[in-house]
Amino acid sequence: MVLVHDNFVKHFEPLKHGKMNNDDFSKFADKFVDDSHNLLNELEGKLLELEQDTSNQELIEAVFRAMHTLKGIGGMFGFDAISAYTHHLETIYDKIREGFLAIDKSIFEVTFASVDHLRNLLGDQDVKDPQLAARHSELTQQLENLAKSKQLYYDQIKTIENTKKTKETIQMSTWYIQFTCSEELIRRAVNITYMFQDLAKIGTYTIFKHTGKLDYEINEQDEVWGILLTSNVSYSEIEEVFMFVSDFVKIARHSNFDTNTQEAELDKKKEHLSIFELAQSAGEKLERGDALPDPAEMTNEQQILRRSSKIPRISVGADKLDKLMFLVGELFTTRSELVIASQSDNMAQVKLATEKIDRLSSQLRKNALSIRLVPLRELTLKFKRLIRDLSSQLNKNIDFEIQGDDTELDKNLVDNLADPFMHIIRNCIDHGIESPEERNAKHKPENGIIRFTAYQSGNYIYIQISDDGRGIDRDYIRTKAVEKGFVQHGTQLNDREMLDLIFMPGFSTAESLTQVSGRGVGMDVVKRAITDLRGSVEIETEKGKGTTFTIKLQQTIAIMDTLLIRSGDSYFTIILEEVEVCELENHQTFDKRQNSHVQIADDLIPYVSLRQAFSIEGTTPETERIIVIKRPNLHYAIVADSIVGQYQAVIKPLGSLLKRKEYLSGASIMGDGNIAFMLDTQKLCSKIA
Amino acid sequence: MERTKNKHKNVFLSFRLGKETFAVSVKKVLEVLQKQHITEVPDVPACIKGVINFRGDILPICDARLKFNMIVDPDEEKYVVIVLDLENNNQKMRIGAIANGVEDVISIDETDIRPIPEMGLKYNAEYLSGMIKSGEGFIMILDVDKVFTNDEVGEITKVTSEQV
Repeated sequence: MVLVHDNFVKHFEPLKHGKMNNDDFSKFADKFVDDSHNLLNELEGKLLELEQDTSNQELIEAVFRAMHTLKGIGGMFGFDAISAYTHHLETIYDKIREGFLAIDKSIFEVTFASVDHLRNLLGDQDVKDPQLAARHSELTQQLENLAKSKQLYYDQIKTIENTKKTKETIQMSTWYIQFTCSEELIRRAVNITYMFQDLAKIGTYTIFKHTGKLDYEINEQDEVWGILLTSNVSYSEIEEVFMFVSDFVKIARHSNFDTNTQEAELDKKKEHLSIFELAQSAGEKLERGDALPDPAEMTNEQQILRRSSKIPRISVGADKLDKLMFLVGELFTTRSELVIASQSDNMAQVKLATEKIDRLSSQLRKNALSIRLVPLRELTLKFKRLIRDLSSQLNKNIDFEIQGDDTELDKNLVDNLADPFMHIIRNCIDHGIESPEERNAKHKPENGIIRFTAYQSGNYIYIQISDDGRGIDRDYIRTKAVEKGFVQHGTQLNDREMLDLIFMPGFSTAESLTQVSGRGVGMDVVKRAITDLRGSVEIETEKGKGTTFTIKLQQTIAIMDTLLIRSGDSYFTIILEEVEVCELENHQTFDKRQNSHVQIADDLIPYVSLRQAFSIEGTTPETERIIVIKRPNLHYAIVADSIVGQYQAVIKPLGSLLKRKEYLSGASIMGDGNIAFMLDTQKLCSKIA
Repeated sequence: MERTKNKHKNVFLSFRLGKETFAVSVKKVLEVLQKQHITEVPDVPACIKGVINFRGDILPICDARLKFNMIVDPDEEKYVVIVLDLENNNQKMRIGAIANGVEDVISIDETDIRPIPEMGLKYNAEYLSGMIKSGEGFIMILDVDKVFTNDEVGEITKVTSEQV
């Protein structure tokens, strides 16, 4: 079953990196990195399941297949380190799968470490980083030892296995598949990974660069791979795997036996002719077969295709795409209606068509936004892993309960949420959940619970992370806060203000620093990260019962309802929900005031004048507008020249050059081509004189 | 096979900043725009003139001349905006750089690019990646990735005290 043995690698030098540097071809490599991350996530998920149910043969097979696919495609794209490393892993899981090796804790530990390591390797495929290289050799050694230590057991069984194999090989035959990997495949967006996953399901295969003669011309950038597949399936089943790329594939039966057995024999004789020649003869056989269709077609438009690298990918449900197609279709029909109507000067019809377009565009907007939404499952998988690692590290037993992780959120938000959430969970495990002994003493179940709950309500998504640990001691926070000088001794604080203290920079309640959390950075970073995403965090806690963090977020932040205001020549937008009320005030009265507060109803509240804050030139109008902002813990007014009106803003990022302009959180292009800036009301209030 | 022909040729766009001529690799240049209305951004460093709508995105406009401590006539009638794609620390960024005008597209052999002399430079050598001889004088090749990702105004000009 061992597929790429050393002789083989030496002979073929599968695909060297030099080739990969080729500009066009590197797109394949990008795709590989992307797919590999998905594969590793999948692998990790399966491993976590397997850990709960170690005898599940199906899961073992799934783990093995994921590894095999990763190794195969890794080799194809010249990620030799990954391919070679996964090979070691695969060897171990092959034995497990065949029942020669019992899966145990040490294997899981090294496998999880390997998954992390492989992720790092994806970023540094040549293992240039010395730290990574050290880790690489350390883990490789571990894997080899693991394989060896069970070798004895393995050898004994091998005899039995061999007899078994001879029986099997009766139906086994080896196929030679010649696969031309061309740019055309990228253009067609063919997912090569799936193909090889499918291939792994029907048999075992080896991939190498095709070295034999070709009877057709290929492009400089194109690669030809040879695949030796040992399987008991029929020609049509193999053909089915390559269904979508049949133009690029030639399949021929090579022999009626299993090359893997032959491989083993070659091993014994230590002969070097090996599969290299086997493959060549196979290739020649194939060349006598049908020629491929004219590959000249593939060269066309090659220059046009210049995609930038590192495009993040989102998988989208087909229903959303169908809807998109439907809407686009409708839009075009309406457009031609409009063209006809405007040509015949039929105003009534023009109006009708315009209304239709208006409706369609808002539907289109909804649809486009929904495409960007991804389920939170992407996050919970990471958390599962984190909880698993941490709980064993800290000797705590923790159950992770998940509810509503199919709730969808904008891809950008999900990506940015991972870190703050990890931090919250780390805190829950480290500070919240007690040790089993402590829990026993408190008559709590020995296993602690961390619960992840997500749900949608209106335009908002709520995500809760709660634990059933010791809760946060309010008195302790108070003492600590006084100690650190955050509050004066004797200051009256309401419950909310008290709990908010833990979000202060430098506030750490852990009595001793642990490896996991409590370096004094942490909760303030969490708060900032979530505020940056226009969300809010709240804590509820009860001593001895546990703590709940509730994070409230908008589902998407790409398009928002805002209030458009103007000061001088500058336009600004404020998120409509943050606006409490708008008032008029005479400019003169402002000037007379000394304390920079305005009276709204019965309240005196502080204000920020946009003209002053941003040193906008020009004369101030007689009457100015007061926009009262109301957010949790935030009550102040913004003074502007005039209110333009309600405005649906398509928010664009300001770019990193302007990122430090923290009072502005984005910009949008208005209908007349002017640009309006979005005010960050949270940060703007620091401008209060 | 246009690409193979130009394999060892480097192509630059030369442009004027004040009275001096600089060059930038065309690979970095996306488009050259004519003078247009720039929306001012409140409360930013002086070298950032504002933002414009470029293909539906917000494009910050940077006046490179201010970074080089050149004097700029606030009412100048003509200038161009060179749209550049920058990359720094793996961060991609698009900006518009104001120049007095674009001059020429220069195709030059790699071997004809001269190294930056260690001494006697008016500008910080870190921001230049080479020089091209042109007639009597030299055109300095700007390393735009470094020039524009640095926020500090005037840092490009070498501090004279450092040289002593």
